Amino acid sequence: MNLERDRGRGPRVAREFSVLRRLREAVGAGPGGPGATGAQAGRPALAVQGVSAGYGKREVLRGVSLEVLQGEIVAVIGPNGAGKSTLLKVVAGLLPASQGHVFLCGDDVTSLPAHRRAHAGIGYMIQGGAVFPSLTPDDHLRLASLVARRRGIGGTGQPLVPFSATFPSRHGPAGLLSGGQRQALAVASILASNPAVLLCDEPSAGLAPGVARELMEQIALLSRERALSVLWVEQRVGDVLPLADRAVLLRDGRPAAETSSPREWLGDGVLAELTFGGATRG
Amino acid sequence: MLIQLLANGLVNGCLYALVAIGFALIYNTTKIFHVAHGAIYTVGAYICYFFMVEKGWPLAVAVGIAVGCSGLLGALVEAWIYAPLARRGAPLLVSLLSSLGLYVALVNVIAMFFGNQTRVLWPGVQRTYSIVGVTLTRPQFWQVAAAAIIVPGLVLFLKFTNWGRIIRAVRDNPTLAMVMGINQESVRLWVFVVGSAVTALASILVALDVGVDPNVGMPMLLTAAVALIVGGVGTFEGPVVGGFILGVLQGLVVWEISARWMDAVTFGVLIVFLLFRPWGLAGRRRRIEETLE
Amino acid sequence: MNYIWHILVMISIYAVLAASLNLVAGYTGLLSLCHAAFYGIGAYATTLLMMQMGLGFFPAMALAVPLTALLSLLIAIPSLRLRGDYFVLATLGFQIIVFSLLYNCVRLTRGPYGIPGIPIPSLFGVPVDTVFKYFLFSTTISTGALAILWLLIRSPFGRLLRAVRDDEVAAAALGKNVPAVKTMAFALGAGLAAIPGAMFAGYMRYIDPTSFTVGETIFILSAVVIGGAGSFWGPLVGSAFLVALPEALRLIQIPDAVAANLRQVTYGLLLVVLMRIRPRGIMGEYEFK
Repeated sequence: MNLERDRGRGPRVAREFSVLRRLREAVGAGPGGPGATGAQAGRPALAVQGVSAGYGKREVLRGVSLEVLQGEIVAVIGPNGAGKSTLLKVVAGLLPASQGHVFLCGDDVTSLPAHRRAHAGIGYMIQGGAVFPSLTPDDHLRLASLVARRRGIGGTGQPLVPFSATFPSRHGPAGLLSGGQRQALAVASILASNPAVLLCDEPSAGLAPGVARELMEQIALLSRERALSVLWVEQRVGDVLPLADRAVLLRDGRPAAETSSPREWLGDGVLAELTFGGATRG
Repeated sequence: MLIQLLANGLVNGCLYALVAIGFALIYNTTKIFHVAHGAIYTVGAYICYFFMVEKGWPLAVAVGIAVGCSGLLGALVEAWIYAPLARRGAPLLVSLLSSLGLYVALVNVIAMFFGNQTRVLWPGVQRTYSIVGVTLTRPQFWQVAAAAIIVPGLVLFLKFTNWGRIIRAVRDNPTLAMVMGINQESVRLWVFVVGSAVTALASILVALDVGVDPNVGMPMLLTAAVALIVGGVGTFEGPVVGGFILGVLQGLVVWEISARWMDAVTFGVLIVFLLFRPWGLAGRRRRIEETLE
Repeated sequence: MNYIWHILVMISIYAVLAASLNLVAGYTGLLSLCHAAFYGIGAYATTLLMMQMGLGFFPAMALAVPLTALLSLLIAIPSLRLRGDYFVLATLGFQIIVFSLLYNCVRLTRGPYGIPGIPIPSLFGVPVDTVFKYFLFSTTISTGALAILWLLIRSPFGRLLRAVRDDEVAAAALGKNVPAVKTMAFALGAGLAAIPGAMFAGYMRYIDPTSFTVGETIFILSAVVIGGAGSFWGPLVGSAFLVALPEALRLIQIPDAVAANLRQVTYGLLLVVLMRIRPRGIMGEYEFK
């Protein structure tokens, strides 16, 4: 029911907003991007409506709808192959949606290519936090601030993040950093691009548990400081749920359950029941 | 005699460095083995020939037009051939096959219009310059000057400007570059423009010295590819070093054996490098994590 | 009439060439750019064995095949552990080195002067001395060679090749010796390429290095790719098409000098267009990756 109504509404909303956007561009008023200046608290910073997507003939997402409010951290969990990473790829623009729409602060970004979505305010941390191996940490932050500058906010060229102080050398190639340092650099450079919405795909993958927890806490802390909206895909369920405002369980390419008190899912057997039992609305 | 041959080797090294850095710019950034780069090398010299000899326009104008048109041709090749394949997610070997086909087609179009014989751009005896027992012709002198300006210029540009950082970012990880807001397609387009223009300039400077025929591109392309592997794939300084090594080595081959063995020696070097040091002189062994992406 | 037989002789030669490259490129997935080198080695070996050792055509060819296969190991062993572009470039390097040797080892090959006066092959004492007879002769040989290929491809070894091509890791995990399989396929393809080499030498009765250039390699590869790599009939269709194409151009009265270039422009563009719209070729089953 819900889904169908959303699907019907998508194109019309999109049209209205693209007209508005064009108008704003023509007038040239105000900072170009939404995000830090645009969205109001309580309004969805990111809305995914009825999105289906897949690789070739294999459909992975089957009509996913979810919203992330301004300043909210939403954890996406679920078994392997449920489509968690695919969902982020579709939102980031790396994989086209075969159906449905993605809205960023009310603007339909479904047809924008990945780099334009980054300009519009989507920051995407690739699984395990990729960096450019031959660029220095300074180079990373500089590239990120180019994006921020393009959006008309931040872009002072100053490292915005405390992490950079901990790198052994800010002028050596990032490929020589340790795993934890590289992932921290990935977070730092995304935050330096000053996004409105942060997509995290298992930012701590491959790290030792202690280091991983620290990195995750840092991400949550920094996001809250900046009132960022975060869509966070994570395998380390026990670590991510306490950090999140809301959690969504993805199963077989659909949201199977949702909760606004994620800690409750940490109770004995709750998740197992949700994941493997009948479809329940949490 | 030996000094003269070494000097010629160094001059050739300058040319190889120019072509190789153009090729490296494209190969490192797009990972496409752009065989048609050899055709663009040929086309550049012929465009210059056309305007300079057949139209009788001044040298500088003809060179400018030829360099510009070659850059444009590079861009068209990317926009019409490689970019659609990349968008479809086609394997790189498919791009390589397209490139082979394009090479054959372009070179034969040239041969259809201008014939297979060598065309002279600048008839008459060239003025020569002698320095410490080494004699260089005027175009050779220009070749050295062009390499001395452009090669370090490009290397510094790639290292110290934001555009250079963007190009290196795309080389390192195109997906990450995209989600960091870099327009990969336009970066690729510009890389083709610059790489093609630099290569065309090199070919024109050679043609001014010794003329041009439709088949000059393939040996030059292969030398550039070998220079890139010898120097280190993925780097931009490496192919320059590799170019000079090949140039000097060929000079020595001419001295010790005979010019006829130059190609065989070049590829002998390639096979030795592929066997024992495939990451080249300036490249480094990649960490496993880096090669996964 | 001779003209048509001539074209058919050329098609029969190129069909075997393309089919033997198909064994390497299409069935094993190794994009090799030195097939004209093996073609040339086969032609020169047959010629020299006939003229220097006084062997007949068939004994000479029978020796040239294993000789070419052996020589192919020189490039196969070092380059087969390389992937993608590196393998392509290494084989291209081998192609250029072989050409350079044919061109420069004047004492053995007479270099750019070529070798004229190659004896006419004879079958059961009957000299194959007209174009029509040569057509029958070459078609018989190429049918034989293609039959061997057909059996090879249908054999367990052929299935193994495709398994290695499609998933090397899985094949290795099943205990197959992947490098050995690739080397074997490469040497077989090279050895088979010596047969059209011999056919060409016996037909032209004159060879020089310019028949075995990089351009020739690209031409053979185009025949495979345009026809369809990894299918038995693809390369046959491809080579018939590419050999007959210039003759069609001749029919519409284009001067010979231009027609030669136009033929190359056509197949070059055909390659570009096919890669864009149908990368597996006309009959193809396999797309390079």
